[in-house]
Amino acid sequence: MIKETFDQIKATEKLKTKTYAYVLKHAKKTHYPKLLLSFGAFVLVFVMTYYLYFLPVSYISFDLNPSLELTLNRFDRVIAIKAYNDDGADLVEGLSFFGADYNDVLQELIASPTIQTYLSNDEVLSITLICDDEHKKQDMEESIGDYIDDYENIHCHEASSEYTSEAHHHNMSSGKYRYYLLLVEEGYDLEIDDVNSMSVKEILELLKDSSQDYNGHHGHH
Amino acid sequence: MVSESELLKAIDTYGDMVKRLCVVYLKNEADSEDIFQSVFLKFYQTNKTFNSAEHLKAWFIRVTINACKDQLKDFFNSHKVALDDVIEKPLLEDPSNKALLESLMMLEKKYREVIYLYYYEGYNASEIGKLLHKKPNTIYSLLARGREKLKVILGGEGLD
Repeated sequence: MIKETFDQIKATEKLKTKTYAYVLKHAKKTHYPKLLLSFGAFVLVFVMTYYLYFLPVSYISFDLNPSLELTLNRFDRVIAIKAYNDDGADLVEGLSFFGADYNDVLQELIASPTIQTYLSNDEVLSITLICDDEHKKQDMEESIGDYIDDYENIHCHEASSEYTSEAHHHNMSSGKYRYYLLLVEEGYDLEIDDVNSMSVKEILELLKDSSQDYNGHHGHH
Repeated sequence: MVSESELLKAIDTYGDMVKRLCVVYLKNEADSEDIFQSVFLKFYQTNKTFNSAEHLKAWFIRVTINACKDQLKDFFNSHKVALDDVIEKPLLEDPSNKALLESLMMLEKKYREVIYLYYYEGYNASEIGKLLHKKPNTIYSLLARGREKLKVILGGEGLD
């Protein structure tokens, strides 16, 4: 009896036809634009993330004899390291740096046997910060200072970003290029390649010589 | 996504069942029509693959029940129509069944749903348990109590 009762409740043909039309109409209206919209949003988020994360904002030049340059994004994460000579390439070989805090990468580099050997032989490590944001640059200097203050022969400088592209154009780190400009300013007639092959200690000795030479007779080679 | 011909076939095959579930839950023609349409819209847009007709049927039952429950939760669900409006419509052709349906509708929802699934759809207690996320023993006791209550309403008559 209950079966017969329920049997009499039926979806009318009218309701079925109406539903079929309703579904087709609403599915087409809402489904595709939603899909397209969410795809668009996905692409936008992807592009924004890419832009934010992969856009170089500052550089840290690391020069001793090995010459490297770290590229940092706006979150102070290392997104690239470029070696400017073979010693530099050997140093970054196998180093996992992508997305790492620049302090961790710098400390790992400084602690490496190669750099430690150089430092114990009185060579000079030059760290050059290139960042247009003064506030950020100051923060970087302070945090790098925390772990280089123990070393007398690690120097930290800053350089203007306007020379960075010029330096890269000459396949030189910004730090080395800064020294090249200083040497030229002091009257040394040197080629880019000459400076590139010199260690920071050698460069500093030349600069020291020239500052002691009050007559300005340079022309060293 | 489901094709248009699959949609048409599903409306034809499961339309009556969806409609019955709507009536069992909502007791209201206007709402049940909305739910009816939304269930098939959901089916048309689903990316699910159904292994068997049984699987698809269970999916329709689940989705319809959920949609009805959501509708009932809606506090502003105010456009209720009296039960008579539903029953007077072409819903029931035979007036002798009207009394039984009216009596069924007087039961609480928890009894109506199990009675419908058990007596009409032919599911057993453990299958109903799966559909409603309840233990089989709960289903058994709901069925027993529902039957008792119905008997009282009908003045001593049983379901058979």
